[in-house]
Amino acid sequence: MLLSRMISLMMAGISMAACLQAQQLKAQTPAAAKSELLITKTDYPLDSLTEFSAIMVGSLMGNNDELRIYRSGDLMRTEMLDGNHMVTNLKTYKTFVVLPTRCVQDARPSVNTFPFTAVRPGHKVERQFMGSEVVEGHNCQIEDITITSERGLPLKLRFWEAFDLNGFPIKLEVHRMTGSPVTIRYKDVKIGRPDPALFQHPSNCKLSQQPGVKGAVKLSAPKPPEKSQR
Amino acid sequence: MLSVSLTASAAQKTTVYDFTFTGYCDGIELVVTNNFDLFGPGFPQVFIGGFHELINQCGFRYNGTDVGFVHFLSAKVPPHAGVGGPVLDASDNIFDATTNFPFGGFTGAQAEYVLDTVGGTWALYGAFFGDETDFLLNAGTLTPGLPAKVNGGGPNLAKTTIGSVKLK
Repeated sequence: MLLSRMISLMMAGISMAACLQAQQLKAQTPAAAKSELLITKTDYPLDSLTEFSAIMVGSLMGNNDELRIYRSGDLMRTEMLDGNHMVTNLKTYKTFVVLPTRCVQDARPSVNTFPFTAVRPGHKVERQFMGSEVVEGHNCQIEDITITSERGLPLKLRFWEAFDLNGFPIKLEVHRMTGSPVTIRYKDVKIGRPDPALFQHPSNCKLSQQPGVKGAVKLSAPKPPEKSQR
Repeated sequence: MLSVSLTASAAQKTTVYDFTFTGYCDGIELVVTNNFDLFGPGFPQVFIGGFHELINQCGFRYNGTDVGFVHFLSAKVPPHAGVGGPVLDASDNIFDATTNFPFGGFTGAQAEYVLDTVGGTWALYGAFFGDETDFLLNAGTLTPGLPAKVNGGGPNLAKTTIGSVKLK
């Protein structure tokens, strides 16, 4: 009697486990399976998107402007509200600012290169698949990204990556220091190499003056920063 | 470019710079002193206080506040165009002044304006995350004088140096 009850309980347990497994398999849609492939492509999902053009709606600044962006290899061109533009090298962060009568350089990336410049050297990237959703007609996987630097606070992003655009994030949310997340959208996304002429800068964008030359500031070597306790 | 220059006392030196950011509705007034009245003798004229003009044309309720220093800057950093020289460098709370209209608020975003008053150019830097990830937000040329007062404008039409503002 006792033996037959034990066998019944074991059979019921095996049956429940099999049922659960079946349900889990059923929940894994083709999109989810596909997204796992997409997720393992690179450490940072945007690293593989090297040739494209798009209209960026909004930015890290919380504005709602629509401005064109272009990327070809390591170069990214971002347009400004006054009609001028910047070209940033995504590896070195050197930026050319092209104004009507002059051209200047900077060592920092243009703000509209974000989120393509969100990961800096030494940063760690964690990725978590959060599901899938259709956004503006595109079947997207949703991914949460946490970028952690050696110092400072972790940066949290959520990407909606369109399958039909090689995973281009047509929508993203950025959690800044405070307040509700900033939403950035992209439209008119075209995957492919933009016109190389877009990334050239005028000849009046002179090379920088070297430290020590008259008029330039000589900086002493910075001390290694101590790790902050926050 | 230098709109007003005056001396408040025998040793206090004060110079006022008023500019509009060309192509945008906002401007800036930076007052550069040697702070003699506060600190006494021995200090150069490098201390900056001032405001970011956001009311006249942009239509916001509040102006921003500025504080900073005059210092030399390498030619490789905007707003210089391969020359190098002194700049007015001011931290500015334009993000807080323009958020959540009409109230303003705390955004956690911080702006810094760098002006080359000789070359007539400016650059804007910003940080948002509390780490070393900073950005070049914008750059351009300067027009002498603060933005003129206009009627009928409003923040929903404003084109500021940080972009058009999303109204709730």
